[in-house]
Amino acid sequence: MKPALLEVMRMNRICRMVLATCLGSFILVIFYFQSMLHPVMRRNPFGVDICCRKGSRSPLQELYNPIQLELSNTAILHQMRRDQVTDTCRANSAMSRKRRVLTPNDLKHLVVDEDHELIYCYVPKVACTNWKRLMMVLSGRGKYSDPMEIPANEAHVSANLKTLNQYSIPEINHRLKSYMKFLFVREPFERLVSAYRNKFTQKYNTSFHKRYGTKIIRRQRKNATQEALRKGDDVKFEEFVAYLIDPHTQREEPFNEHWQTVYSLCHPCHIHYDLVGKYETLEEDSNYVLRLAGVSGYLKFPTYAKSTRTTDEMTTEFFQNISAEHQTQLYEVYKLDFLMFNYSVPNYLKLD
Amino acid sequence: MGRRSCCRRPLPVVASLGAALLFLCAAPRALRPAFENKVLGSGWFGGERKSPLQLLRELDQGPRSAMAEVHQQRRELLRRACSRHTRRQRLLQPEDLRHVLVDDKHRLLYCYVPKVACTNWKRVLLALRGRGDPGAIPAHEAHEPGLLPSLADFAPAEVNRRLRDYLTFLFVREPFERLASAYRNKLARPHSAAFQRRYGTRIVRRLRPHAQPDALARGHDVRFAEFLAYLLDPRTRRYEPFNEHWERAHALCHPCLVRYDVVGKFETLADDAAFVLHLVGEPGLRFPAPPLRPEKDLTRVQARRLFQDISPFYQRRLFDLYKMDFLLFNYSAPSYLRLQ
Repeated sequence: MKPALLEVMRMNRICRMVLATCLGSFILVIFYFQSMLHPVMRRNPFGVDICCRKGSRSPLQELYNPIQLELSNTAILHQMRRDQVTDTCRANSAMSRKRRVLTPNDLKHLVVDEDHELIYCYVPKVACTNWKRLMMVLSGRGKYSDPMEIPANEAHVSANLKTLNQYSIPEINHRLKSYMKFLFVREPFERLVSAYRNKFTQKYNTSFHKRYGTKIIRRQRKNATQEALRKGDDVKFEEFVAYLIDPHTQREEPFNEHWQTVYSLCHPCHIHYDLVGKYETLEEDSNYVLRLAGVSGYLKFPTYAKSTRTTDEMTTEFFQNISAEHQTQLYEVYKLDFLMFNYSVPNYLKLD
Repeated sequence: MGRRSCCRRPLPVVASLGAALLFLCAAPRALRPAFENKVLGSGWFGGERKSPLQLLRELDQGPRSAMAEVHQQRRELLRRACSRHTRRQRLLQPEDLRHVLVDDKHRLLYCYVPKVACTNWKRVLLALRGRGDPGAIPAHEAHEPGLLPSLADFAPAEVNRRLRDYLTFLFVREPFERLASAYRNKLARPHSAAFQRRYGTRIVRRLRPHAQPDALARGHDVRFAEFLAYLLDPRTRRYEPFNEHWERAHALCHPCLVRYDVVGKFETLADDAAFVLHLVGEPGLRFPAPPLRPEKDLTRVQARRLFQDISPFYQRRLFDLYKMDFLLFNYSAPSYLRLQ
């Protein structure tokens, strides 16, 4: 009996020691986590360069209530751009016959970054390849670090980014309300010339030649050669413009995204974009977005060669050969984009 | 013996389930052709007559009649108020359009708001479907579910097609008069026993200490102050959305997301109803005459009397709850309120 009791007492002591050790460890863990949390809570609000976003303010808060004074002038500039969109939408809605409600399918161009609470509406020919690269870095959770490491074709693979139409309606509504929404725009005719040069004059874009070039030639060119009808690789800018203003074109199918209006791609009258970036101030506006997202310490908008960019002068040259009538009709097609984003009527136009 | 009897029993159940499933599969198909046939059989085929929306646009462009001017101003006021007071950018779910009734033949969309002549408007819509005189249609029949198709029943593309081509209208009422009317009609009158059992008992149970068993069982004697406290209690909307009789008009019809061509007002019901029917182009159709009592003054007096006994604190909170309806539809704060 006594040996048994001794064993029990020993076991009890062992249990007590284990219990005491566990309690001690538990307490240590508690203190450790408290000390971990403390610096985060007391972090310097001016420490823009701190990479960790948890506990910091959301991009929306940063945008509408900037802490740093140097951001305030930029905030005012962007407020003016937002007001311009709002005013144009209001004026347009008085005349407009379009009265549709948004459906998830309308949100295919809105790329979502869950980690930083960002929504970016991509507009082809407005630096969207580089912005898609940035969104892949931002939402990639460490998979990528340098946006320029990402090949251009990979940035355009739809599986690599999440778009807003992939969510349920309540999820969409929550994100539209809580995330910072931004887009980048470009002078509409410069964008058009850029799309034309890239899609119809580059030899490697054979799929565009076959799909759109052949159609344009078949419809717009009298006495087209068999080779032209087969390859569609020598569309002239005048033919492209005639195709765009032909009412049959949009009745047949919506414009391709490369020459579709921003108004129809991003729905700025239904979705209130918090930030309207402009191609003409691309680097400043892009770095402002990154700063609001709290990542400007380690992520910058990539600078790249401007040698191939479509410029004002180039656009002017291309429009020399367009008749006054066609210029007027084309302006009507893109008029909302001019007004909404405050681009004046180009001076090379012969509008009567 | 036991096994045989056991085997026999499940068979009817299985058969019933199978039948139910077959019915469920068949029912949607049966319903769909009816709507599609109406679309195909539209009287507007061949452009014989202008649709209500086309008529309205012509009125807006030509030298305007007084009525067209009034309605143009209301649309502008609503649009401006939406722009100023809302930042809404949400997608509508199908159920959000449940209150928008569809008349494909005449190309109409009507968003009904209870306590704003919606029984009579439903009668008119039924009459337009060939039911003869709207005045002859009983009220309970007008409210029968399923008689009038709702925009919620259509696919998004079909919704947008109708929004583009149809005349969209709604009728609104001063929010507190509407609330007083809902209270009197649903919670204070003997004939609404079912409604009182459902909502009155809940209000009594939650807001009346030491309630009598009779009150707890019937919910027939809810006081206006208790009703308001129930509306202001956050638990009420957490539990389920407001009943349509006291839900805000903007939450039923979404006027900042759906664009309404005509905003009718209860206070000018006869004129506004005549305007809509003029656009519809059915000269023989008359909006049912309201009961022969001074409706306007009476409801205002009733609302004033009911709100007299409410403390300023509750008046303020209640005004905040319905504020968007006041702002969007251009109603000023009632003079009997003591908002501090």
